Amino acid sequence: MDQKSFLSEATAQLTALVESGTLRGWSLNATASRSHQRLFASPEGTALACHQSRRVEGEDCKLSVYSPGEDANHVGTAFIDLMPFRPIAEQLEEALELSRGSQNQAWTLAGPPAIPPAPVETCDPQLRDNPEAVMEDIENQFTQAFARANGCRLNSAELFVNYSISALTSSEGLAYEVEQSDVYLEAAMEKAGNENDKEVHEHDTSVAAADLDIADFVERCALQVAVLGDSEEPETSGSASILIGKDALSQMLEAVVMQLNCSNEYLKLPFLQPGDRFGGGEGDALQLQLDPTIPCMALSAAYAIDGMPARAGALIENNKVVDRIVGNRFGQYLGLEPNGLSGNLVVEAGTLTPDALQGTEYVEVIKFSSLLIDSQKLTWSSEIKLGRHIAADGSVTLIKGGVVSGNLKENFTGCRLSSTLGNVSSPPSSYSPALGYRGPDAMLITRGVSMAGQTKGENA
Amino acid sequence: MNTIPYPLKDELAAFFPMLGKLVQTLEAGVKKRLYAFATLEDLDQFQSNVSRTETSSITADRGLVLRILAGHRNFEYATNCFDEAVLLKEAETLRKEALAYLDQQTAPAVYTPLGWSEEPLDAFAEPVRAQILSGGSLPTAQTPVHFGSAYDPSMSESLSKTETTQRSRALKEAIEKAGGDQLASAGTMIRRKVKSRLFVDRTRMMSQSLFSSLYYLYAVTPSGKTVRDIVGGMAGAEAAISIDDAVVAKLVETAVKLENAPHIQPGRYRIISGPDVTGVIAHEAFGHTQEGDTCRLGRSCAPGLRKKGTLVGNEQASIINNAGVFSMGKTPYGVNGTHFFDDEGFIARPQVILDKGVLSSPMNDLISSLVGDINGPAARQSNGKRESWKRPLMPRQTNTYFTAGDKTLDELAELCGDGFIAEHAHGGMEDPKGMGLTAGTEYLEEVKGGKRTGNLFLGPQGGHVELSDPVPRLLQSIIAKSTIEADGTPDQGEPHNKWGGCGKYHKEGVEAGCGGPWILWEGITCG
Repeated sequence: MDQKSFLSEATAQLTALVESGTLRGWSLNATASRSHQRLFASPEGTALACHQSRRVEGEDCKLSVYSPGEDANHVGTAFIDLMPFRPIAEQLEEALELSRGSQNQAWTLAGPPAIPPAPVETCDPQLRDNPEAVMEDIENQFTQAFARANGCRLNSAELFVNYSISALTSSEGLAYEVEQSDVYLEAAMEKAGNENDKEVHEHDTSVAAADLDIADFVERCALQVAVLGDSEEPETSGSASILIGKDALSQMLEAVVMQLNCSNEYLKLPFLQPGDRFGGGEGDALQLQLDPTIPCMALSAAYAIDGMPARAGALIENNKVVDRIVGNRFGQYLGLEPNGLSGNLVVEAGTLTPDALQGTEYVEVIKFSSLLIDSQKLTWSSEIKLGRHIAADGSVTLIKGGVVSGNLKENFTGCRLSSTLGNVSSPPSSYSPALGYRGPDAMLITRGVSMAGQTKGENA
Repeated sequence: MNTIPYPLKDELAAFFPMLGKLVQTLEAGVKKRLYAFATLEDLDQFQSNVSRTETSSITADRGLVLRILAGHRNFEYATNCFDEAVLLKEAETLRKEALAYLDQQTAPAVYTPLGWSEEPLDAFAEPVRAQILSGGSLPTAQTPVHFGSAYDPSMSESLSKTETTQRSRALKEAIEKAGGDQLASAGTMIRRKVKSRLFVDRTRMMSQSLFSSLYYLYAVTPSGKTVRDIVGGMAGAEAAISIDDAVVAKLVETAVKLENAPHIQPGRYRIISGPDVTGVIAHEAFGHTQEGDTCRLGRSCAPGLRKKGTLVGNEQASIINNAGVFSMGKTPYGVNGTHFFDDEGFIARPQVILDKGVLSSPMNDLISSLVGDINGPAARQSNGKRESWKRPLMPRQTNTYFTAGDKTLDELAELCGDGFIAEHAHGGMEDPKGMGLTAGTEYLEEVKGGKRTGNLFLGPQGGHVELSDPVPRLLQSIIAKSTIEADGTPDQGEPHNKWGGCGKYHKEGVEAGCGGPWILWEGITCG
């Protein structure tokens, strides 16, 4: 049975179960996906040599079922992967049985909106229609850009071009499709002609091929390679100033946004609500919005995850929480009006410029080893993979090792945000959810940061 | 416990003939030029989550990978469409692609796989050897060989979703009851997973079914301090025999202590790592650094150090990678990094990757063993793994652990004097080129005057604590190690490995156990 016939049969059986009162509702998300993957070595250190090439094609179907609960205030819930090689009726019976064992406070599933949301650009037609040509083009661009990267030796690279199309349907009449694409480019390089103990390992992602600026990516890597050299561990300090980039900043704000989701209140986890203050002080004020409509960004979508039309809106203005994410299910639980707020994190630029950093002592963290952020405690910690200590007189020392840790509520107090903006657009992976960010390129943190490394006068 | 090997479903065994046909098509007329295999993976997982909401879910997945190794390049096609005609056509396409590549190469290398009679049976763990010989003699290329992980069928919870859900709810309620108003919330997750794999090449036809269980309990305080207990193993519900009222009470007691725990000052401290944190250090120290692709791509310092014969640790610094962990101390089962054969069909065997500070050859998948690093080609190991059929295969760790020592935990505390115990892991990362290492721990427990005080400390900013040092400095600083159980009883089996997962840098998540004894370290940077 092909996927279309399979879905049609599954939908018919699910509808019959609702009509008979056996089920209260269901939703089905069927996805077809394709991926082209190439891994490269570089034996001479100058060119790409593919050592693994893959084509992947797949289909999957995720089903949520909601069965009558043990009383009118409850609903049974279960989620299963529907497999085309097993009888549908048998799988639905199993899902029903599971749902009866998982009782939740009842809620009403989202139905189709009176006015369908405007379409949002989430896919590059080139990646859908000509993935192999796009791969070739990226490889060529990379090769040309790397030829201009003087003093660099290439160790490895990876290139993935992905496309998927999903169809979501539900018992409430919701029916829409989502097409998604993304490109992943990774490279590892180091100083040419040296026996090195450091390499630069970076990656870039985008929804559209045109948004992947390969020349800029290689140039950024090469600039990092150029500064590699002898390094020291940072000095131990209970109160340090650090400069971080857009990747770390976007991840920190992603943790804050988790506390701005009303689901945390219902689940009795720490949460922020309108009226609360987050950070502040004499630095740049935090202005944080969500926007699902930016074309070709990782969190752009016409519909929010629970089937509500996705909507843009402010969450934090001048460090004060003005709204929060109220989803369909948890909004009903808490007696709040669901608002569909979702999408990419958008942060206003601040006032920090390179000139403003003159005379300031700080550590610029170029790369964290593994930035682990606790979204409950809003704390974080990581080894420094690569950084620079900039003294007040402007002298620079390369930093590697040591541990830097922080507390986000303190970090956003008296902080400075860069006047220039950048984007982060990371598709979801088995490791992390999708992250879309448009905001300051950098943030200077002067509070709530500790550094563990060498102690003055001690030979580490 | 009376255990039996987990069986292969008939429905899966029925794929063997088609896989054989696909391999024949991939290699038709060109066996002397290339090597091919076909593998099918099947995931059947049940999970029950209970907190203030409840969720039961079944995650199922099945996919097939066709592989051709041509020269030093792998060509793969992967799909979850099982239409034989479609697959045979794709096999033809893949073959043409590989041959077109080979036609451009000058004297490309050719790999010839080993037959069953060439396998070093004596090097295999008993459960591996016994199942290879279960038919009474060595199998032939056409004899299906099945490996099943052991489980106790008398424990009904193992195979009952209803009982599993009830257990999940009961545990969550027990944590809530024990914690009362001191906790904001509590929850549990129980996961039961069967991961099966079929592998066919010109020399063999084999399958494995790995049955594992994971129990995850947590308590959250009003300020968001979360304490977890993770218990799991390659077994059924017997993996959770140790979860009792005392475990729940300890979880709550720890959460309550952490709610107002003081913060450490950033700096260097004498540390005793528990098996969980010890394992993360093993995994990060010379685990990733010894992965074959990292070595051959010039991204690891290990080949250079090995070439020079540099000692990278003291005589206590011995680390093993071993997919064939089937018992750990008194625990009669392995952990989730255990397998019988890897995703390229290579049988599990132990490898000492660091022997008293001396580096061995890397953990190689097939292509890395053929290409080699600056020290030349080296032995293939059972480390070819992938996140799923959808992702590329790379050399990955299985179970990585320090070897045991001769002390009890009390003796280590006495040797420690003043310092901290790091028992519960919280992530980790390694820089294979730069030899940086970081291993997280949820919190630290104070040791004063050679005794555990029970006082807990959080990181300098109130979060978890990262333990970090350059790897050689760290591995030179091992003062002493405990025996496997750390209580004076004689060692048996492998050291305890904990349930874990691993990413290659920031992606490609795979299952990987890690562990070892309790270890006393002279000093580690903590922040």
